[in-house]
Amino acid sequence: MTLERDLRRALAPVDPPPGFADAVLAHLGTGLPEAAGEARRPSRLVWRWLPLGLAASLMAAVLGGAAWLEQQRGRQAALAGEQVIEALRVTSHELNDIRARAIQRMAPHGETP
Amino acid sequence: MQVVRAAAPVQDPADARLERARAGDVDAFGAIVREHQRMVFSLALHVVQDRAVAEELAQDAFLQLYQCLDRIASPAHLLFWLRRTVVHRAIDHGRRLSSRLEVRVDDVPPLALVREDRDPWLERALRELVAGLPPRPRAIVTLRYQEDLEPMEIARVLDLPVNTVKSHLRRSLAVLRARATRLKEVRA
Repeated sequence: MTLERDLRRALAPVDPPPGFADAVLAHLGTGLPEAAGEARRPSRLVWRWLPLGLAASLMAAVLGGAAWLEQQRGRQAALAGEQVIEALRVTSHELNDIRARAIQRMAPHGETP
Repeated sequence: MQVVRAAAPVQDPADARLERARAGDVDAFGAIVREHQRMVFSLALHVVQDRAVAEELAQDAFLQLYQCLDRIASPAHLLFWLRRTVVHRAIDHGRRLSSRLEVRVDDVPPLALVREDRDPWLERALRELVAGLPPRPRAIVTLRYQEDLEPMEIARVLDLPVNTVKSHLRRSLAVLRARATRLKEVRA
């Protein structure tokens, strides 16, 4: 019996924080009662996980940025390679032209290059 | 000739307030919140043991009530609905928490604060011991000793067989008695 009496005292109702009812009514005024609970305002769980979420987003952004930079570098290298090949092709074509013209000039004199 | 008018049936103020709230009277709904806020907040607090979470759960219960006022038949139904909603939410919250509160003897107020008629040390220790129970027995003990509900009423609130409620109560009291005795010995 003593324990039950003590439990009644220990679990006696307590007042909510001041302004509790006004806060409830203010939420009604926002037109969000259908969201009662979850979407109405960020819950404590959201605040608890927010730093972790931000850190994960930051890490994803850094890794994504690094991957993008790497891809850009690869593209630039491929482009540079293509330009070198094109330059060599043009040079080779020019040299062939010069060689052909030289052969033509020397041919009437019976010279061989 | 004298005209005798039949007296209009007197409506209970709580019924009238509920009716006005159902019709969209925000002031009437505010009065309902003020009438029950202490009970709803305390039920949540005694089950979750966290004032901020209890406030959030209690607010959610009232906002949900506002959504389904049409389905509330009477002030007694409203009281039952509020108890049921907040306790179920608090139990769900308690189940999500993996860790339990532990009672620390050095956490309680100094003995100088103890008065003859009430013992804040014991009351706080008991609240923490209740918090150490699993969520459902914790809710049952809270409904029994905060709201003075009989096992049959608790069974209705929690959708449980009355014998289950009784056995939870018996076991919880045995556990609480043993732990409280041990704490008192440590304190002495």
